[in-house]
Amino acid sequence: MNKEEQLSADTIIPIMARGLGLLLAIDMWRLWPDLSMLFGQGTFLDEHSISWQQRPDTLSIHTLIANLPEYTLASLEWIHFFGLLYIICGLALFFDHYRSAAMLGLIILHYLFFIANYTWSYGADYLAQTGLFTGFICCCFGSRGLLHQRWARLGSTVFRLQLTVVYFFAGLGKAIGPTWWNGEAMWKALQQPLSPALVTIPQSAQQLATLWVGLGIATLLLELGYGLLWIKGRVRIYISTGIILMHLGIALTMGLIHFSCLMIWYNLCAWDHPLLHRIAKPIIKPLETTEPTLQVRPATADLNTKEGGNNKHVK
Amino acid sequence: MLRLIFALGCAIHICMASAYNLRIIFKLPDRLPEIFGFAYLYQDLAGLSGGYTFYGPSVGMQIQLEYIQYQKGNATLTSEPRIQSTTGKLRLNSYLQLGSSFVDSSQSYLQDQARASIRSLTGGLSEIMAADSISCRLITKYIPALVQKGEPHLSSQYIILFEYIKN
Repeated sequence: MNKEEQLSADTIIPIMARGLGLLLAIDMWRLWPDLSMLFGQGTFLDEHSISWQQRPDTLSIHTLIANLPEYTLASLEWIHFFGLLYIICGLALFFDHYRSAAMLGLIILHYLFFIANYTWSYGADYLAQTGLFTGFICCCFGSRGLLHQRWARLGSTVFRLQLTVVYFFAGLGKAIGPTWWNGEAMWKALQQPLSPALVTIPQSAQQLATLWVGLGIATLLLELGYGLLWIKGRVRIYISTGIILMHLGIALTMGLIHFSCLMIWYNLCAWDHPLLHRIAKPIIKPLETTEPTLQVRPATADLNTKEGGNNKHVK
Repeated sequence: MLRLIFALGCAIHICMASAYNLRIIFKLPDRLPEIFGFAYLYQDLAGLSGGYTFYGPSVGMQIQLEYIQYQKGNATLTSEPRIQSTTGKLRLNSYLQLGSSFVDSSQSYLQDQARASIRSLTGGLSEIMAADSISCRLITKYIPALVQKGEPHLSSQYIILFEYIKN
């Protein structure tokens, strides 16, 4: 990789946060038509079923709205107000306006929507919360003037460590059973996607047992071997590219587009993948800190550049 | 000093994430003393409470809803008609999968909850759709095991886990 294309430590977390803001805003925008039905005054699930997945002694968007007076404005409900606020915070984070406030707002709203009550949550929501939390903690230290180069390096190290833990346990969870080793799990995962897949694998592909065994083992090795990304050089590029391709496969064949985009973005930022500089050039440039330049006195016509220099004048 | 606090906080964070996931993977009991109650809040705020063992150790059954509208020319709805967005459908599927954990014998206590949710969903639908009666089925796709070359090929079948009829 070109040296000029390497991210400095203090830009990793801000870039990650900006992309995360955009992804969360897009996901909420996609959920907009169903906000009323899932979270609002729509009669989709009864209160008992919703409260069953409420974390004890916490405030969620469901409990918050239940305590607000019933109010609608041209078919818009309270939930649309909170949804709009979520999108605004996401976009503010993306455009890097009021970074700390936007991140704090997004953490609180994301927690209210998807964490405090997990009825309508899935894995991507927790990973997004982790990204927001890491970003906010580093942002707090930064805004207090503490996040100079050493602090920034510590923040990006924590982010990388967090991802290593995520992938290691994802791999360990799979490795303790036999189904990821014999291809069964890979085949089942592709045959029953959680969301409509963009690429459907025909059932006749069941006979390609070797392929599914190979892909299952490759997934395990990539996740368990994620820690090798700490080694700089070609190993890092090969493994991070493998992880990115794995998530691309998940997006296409299992329909988990938001989850895949989130994880691809985290990996691009954490390990400074060359692809990041292709797709996020406009947001990287303004964030990069300018290196101190060497001050050289400009040469003048009077300067004697002959051997001995200005010594002649001193004489 | 501040650096030390930060480093200590990071170490605690990683230890908590590791302990939480080890507990899920090895099915260890979740018993924290009262005094550590704040740890749950921290886990939620830091996004640790979901666990990272996606599709591990094996891929579970994917649960779907199917509505059958009984009236002139019976109609079958293979997806929830009240949810429009792809991400909304994905979240509903995730809920159904979680709510249907009762098929695992260790979590059979969830059965009543799943039944109540299906009753609630069907009841709500009957209020907005004209039908003599509506049947709601919780179905799953049975995926046969991988076959080697030459072995007979079995096709997938749908299994009804639960059916509720609203008249």
